[in-house]
Amino acid sequence: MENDFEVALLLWAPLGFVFLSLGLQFRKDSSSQKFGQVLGAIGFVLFGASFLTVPSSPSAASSSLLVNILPSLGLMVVGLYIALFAGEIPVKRFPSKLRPMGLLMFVTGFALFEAMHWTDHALLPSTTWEGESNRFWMIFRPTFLLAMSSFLLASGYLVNLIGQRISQTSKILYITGSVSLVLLILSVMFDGSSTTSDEFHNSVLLAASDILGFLSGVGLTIIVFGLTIWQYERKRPGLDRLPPPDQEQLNTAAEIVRNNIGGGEDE
Amino acid sequence: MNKRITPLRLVLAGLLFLLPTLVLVLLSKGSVYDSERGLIRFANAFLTSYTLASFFLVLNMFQYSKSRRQPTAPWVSMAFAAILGVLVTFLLTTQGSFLMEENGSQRAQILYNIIHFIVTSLAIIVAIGIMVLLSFVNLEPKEQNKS
Repeated sequence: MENDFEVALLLWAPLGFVFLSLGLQFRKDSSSQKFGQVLGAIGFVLFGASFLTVPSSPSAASSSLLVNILPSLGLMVVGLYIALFAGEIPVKRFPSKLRPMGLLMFVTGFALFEAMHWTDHALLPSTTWEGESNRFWMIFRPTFLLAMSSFLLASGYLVNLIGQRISQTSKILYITGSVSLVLLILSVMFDGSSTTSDEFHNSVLLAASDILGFLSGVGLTIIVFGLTIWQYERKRPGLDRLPPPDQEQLNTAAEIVRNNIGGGEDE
Repeated sequence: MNKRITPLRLVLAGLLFLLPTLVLVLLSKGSVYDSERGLIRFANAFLTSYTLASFFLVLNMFQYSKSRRQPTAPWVSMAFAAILGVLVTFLLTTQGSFLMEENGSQRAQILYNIIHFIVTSLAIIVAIGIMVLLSFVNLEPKEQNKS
């Protein structure tokens, strides 16, 4: 019972903070947003540490995974962010000479992520938990590689249809998506450092079930959300039957226009 | 919508989306895939993502209600949709253990589903993030396009 209380306090409550902080970001007042950011940061750190504070909980394996994949994911995302904002775009934030470094960070992050599967070198982040392959690593890696290859191949085709100022983009998306697919195929043919090829193959096909379930579930929620708003909006009187705006509404509209007119440096 | 994006081309994009999964299914030759477990994983992923996303959208509905002078109907409807997800999950984990995986109890299974959802969504969100960033990294400057 005492252990349950500790797990609730040190693992589930911080996770709740992270969800709550996401919800608070939709509030309009900036003090709530800032409070949400602080709460989210505290929740993230406490959840990340839960594999040390409550290692007896089976869910603590997920916090161990989060800490171990953070360097590679961070390198990939930050690298691409730097490469993007160091390019020849109007909203440039970094000098152009940082662009190759950003791309190198992305490649290094991806290589580190893959090295974690293929070798158990002591200097690399671990993919094991309590002496066995971390069950959440066997969910994360197949899902990530499968989602990446699926999304990149489909978007490579769609981007090609739009065809303005993006002649190289389609090629890059196809190449990266194909690399991801080749890595998946290699993983189902050859054993990794802590998993056999058969185990991984089963995990990839289960990851496909996860992705389809995830997309269907979120899709259904969006449909329900849209239908709820549509049901409410269709019962409201049409624009031609509404009374003219009062002074308070005109003032609000004028303030919104004033706040959004002119454009700043970034535009 | 761009005139070049026709329904047929969207179907082709959908097929490209499914291509990696189809390749891996063909490679397995039906020998390694546990189809019953796959169905359970699909159902768990579907119900968990539906329920958690519904709760998240209830919060958004509060904002919508505020912008429409506080009607309760929209967020109450959305809350009912979220509660329906919770009820179905409880029903399917207790009745005949349909949604149970390798977890000892109903509570353990539901908590595992939440962690599983977070891990899966993190993987998908990072993959989508990389797709978006890669798309814009190669954007060419306007001058180059004109020539």
